[in-house]
Amino acid sequence: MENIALTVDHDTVFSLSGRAAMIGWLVLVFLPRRYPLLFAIPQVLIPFGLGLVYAGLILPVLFTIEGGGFGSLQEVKTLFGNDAALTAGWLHYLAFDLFIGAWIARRSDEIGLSRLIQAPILLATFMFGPVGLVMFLTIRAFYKKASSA
Amino acid sequence: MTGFLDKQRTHRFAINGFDDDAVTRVFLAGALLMTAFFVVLTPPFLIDPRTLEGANVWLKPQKFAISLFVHFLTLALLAQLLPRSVRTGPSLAIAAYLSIAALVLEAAYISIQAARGRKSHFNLETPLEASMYTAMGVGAVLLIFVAFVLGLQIWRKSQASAGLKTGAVLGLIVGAVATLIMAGYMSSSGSRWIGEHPFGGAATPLFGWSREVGDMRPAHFVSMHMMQTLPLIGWICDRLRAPGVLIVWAAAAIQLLLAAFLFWQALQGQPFWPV
Repeated sequence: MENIALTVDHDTVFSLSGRAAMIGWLVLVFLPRRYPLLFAIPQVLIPFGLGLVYAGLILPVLFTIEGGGFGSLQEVKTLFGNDAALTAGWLHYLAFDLFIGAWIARRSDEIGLSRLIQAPILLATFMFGPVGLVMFLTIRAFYKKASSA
Repeated sequence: MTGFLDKQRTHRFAINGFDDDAVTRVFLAGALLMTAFFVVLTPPFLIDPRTLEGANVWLKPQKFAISLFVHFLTLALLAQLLPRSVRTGPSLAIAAYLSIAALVLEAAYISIQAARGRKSHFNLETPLEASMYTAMGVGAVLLIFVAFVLGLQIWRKSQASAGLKTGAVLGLIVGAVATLIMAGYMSSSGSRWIGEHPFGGAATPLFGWSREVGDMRPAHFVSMHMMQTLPLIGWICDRLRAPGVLIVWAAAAIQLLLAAFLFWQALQGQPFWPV
């Protein structure tokens, strides 16, 4: 039987999952936070969906790629020379960045950070994942739990 | 304690002495956003070998982060001189949110241009960069405008001790007006230099001001930082029971004269600290 992870059109998977992630980011940056179901879209639904697609792409091919692995840069390079693994790697970024973005959004509301200030941090997380995370962790270091909330 | 407006909020600013209202929070968040920019841009600043007009490409966003950190911390501190109802009133709240929008725009654009190795100010090379330069001009006015509004409100409504109040009012209002004039002139003249600053020419460490030709930035720096020096002088006078109002007015005159002198000197094409 053919391995769908290898034969599926990776360009289509790439652009569809990119669009899904983009919807999540738009919700995070622009829409209100007070509806739990709406917030669940970027926080749970999209990362969950991307995670399933990721699993379907990476697990059927990971151990079949000659010389691929995580032990050295060369092994990683070989691994990502495979289109299924490469697409999966990209989905890994999309899913984790969005999930972290939702975490930052939730924690930002907890410290009362203006949505105007949240926007560039979320944008940095979208573009350069850890850069946005470092920015938010820096800001959060200056807040403490209120004694009487 | 003050009640939270929204249920989601469970944390507050960790340093005591600040009220927990929307305007104070947004000023502090502005200062913290600059701290975050500074932290995350430090590794590229240390590693990136690229230069722009002889300086590390990341020097400019780092300098702006420090400068705007000081600016927004000053706004947060001096806003505490107002009763909460005035501080969160419409004029200051609107000016504060506009200044934060401007801050986000300026910091993001200056950082992106640094990453691309392109100039942000005085850059008219492409239509987009030219219109961003104009937008940054509007943003800079908004960043200064909020200080002006805060100064006016402190003048009208503050119960702070005399020296500190005079320092805050003069620092914010005179500092804002002088900054608008000098920075406005600098931006409309198309360059920060009067004369041709040679590539790799001598400059002050850290600040990068020209020691070869006239440079308007020292005057801009001195006038802008009245917002910090005058309230600080007034506060110290009050603590020492010195005649704060008199000393603050004298300090304001001296600092304004110094800024005017540096500005005049730059316009003559003279460096303020010749090689």
